[in-house]
Amino acid sequence: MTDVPRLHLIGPLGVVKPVEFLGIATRCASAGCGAIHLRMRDLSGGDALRMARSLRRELSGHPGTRVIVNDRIDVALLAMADGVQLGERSFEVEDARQLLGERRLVGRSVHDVDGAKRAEEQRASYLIAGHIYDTPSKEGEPGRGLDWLAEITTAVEIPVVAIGGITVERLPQVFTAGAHGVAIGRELLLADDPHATTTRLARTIEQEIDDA
Amino acid sequence: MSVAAESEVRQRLFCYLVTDPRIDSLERLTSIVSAAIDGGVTAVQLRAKGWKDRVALDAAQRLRRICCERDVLFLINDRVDIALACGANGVHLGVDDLPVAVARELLGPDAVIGYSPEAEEDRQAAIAAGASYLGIGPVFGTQTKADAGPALGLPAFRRTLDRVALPCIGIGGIDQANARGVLEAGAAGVAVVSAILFADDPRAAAQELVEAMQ
Repeated sequence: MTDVPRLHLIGPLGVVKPVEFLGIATRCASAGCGAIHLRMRDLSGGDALRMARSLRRELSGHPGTRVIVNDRIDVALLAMADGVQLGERSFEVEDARQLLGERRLVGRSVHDVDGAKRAEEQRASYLIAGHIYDTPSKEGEPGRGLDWLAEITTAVEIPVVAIGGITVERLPQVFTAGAHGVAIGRELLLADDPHATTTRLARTIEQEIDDA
Repeated sequence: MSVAAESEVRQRLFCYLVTDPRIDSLERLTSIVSAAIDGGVTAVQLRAKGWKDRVALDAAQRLRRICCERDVLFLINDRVDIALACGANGVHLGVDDLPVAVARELLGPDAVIGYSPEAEEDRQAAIAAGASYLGIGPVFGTQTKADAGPALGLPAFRRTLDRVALPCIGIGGIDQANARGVLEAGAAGVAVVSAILFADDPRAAAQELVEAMQ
């Protein structure tokens, strides 16, 4: 399962403008970010395709960084993305898998053990589980915590990527709970220096894996 | 079912039902569409904007089955991935959606790809990119689509069709009373929403529409 990235950037989430996001994504990629997720629920199909193709182009110098498109399998295929990220509103994993084939990543965002098991049965490549800590993007919904994360990572064998309020300082405990990697949105999108923050995250993740 | 031949597409566009995402009970939707096909509808387009993708795909799979059994053309609005996943005959695209040429790339040469242009240059570009037919409108005033723009009226509609070599359907405010004029202006068929979808008896409404056009 080494081909599932450890560090995922999620954007633009309405936190930054699409064009700014392209710049941030490129800086994160050059510092070792393994996957860039395009979450563009409010974009039309045409705009979403333009955005995904621009990102693919911007990242052409970083072949190690995967492009993951949220929900839109047609956009993912046309932009030659490396995979899709699905949620509770999206296609079922098995339907997406049928369209995307075996070589692309199909990630599923989950919020409970049952969902995690179901996604694994349907042959998801990995899960994104959260949110772990309190985060401004989920105001009023307390984080599910590390014990919850450990329950998910114990329940499935596929890689689990933790999301929600993750910072460099919190990486050790997240990996101790069994996470394969982490997904980060606003902490990277709003970082003064996304390249430096990514470098710190990537280094710490490497240490955690070596220690394990 | 391959329906790429232009003459066959033209025939199937004759009485074209477009669904409304506000009818979001799948039981109700499938029963209306079945009744409309009983009444003579020849094409169905699923519009599921705002729905969860998985619900849209579920609806698409059910409607595709119904349409396939009855030899009715079945298209998905906007979403090429849903069309691929359910095995629809094709898609109907607007100017903000995926471009016609890339949809064709994914769906293949036999797919039916409809397009709703907004300007003259959109029309020509879509034809060059491989659209199968065009939806031209709004022919009359419509309440269904708030952003549809001012009505063309029949004379302008006819002039537009004269400049287009592809099969065209009229859309926007078409009902049993005015459908014949749309055909006489040169359309291959009429697209309706409310005139069938919101009728008390969708089967009778479709039948009346077909009779009015024959």
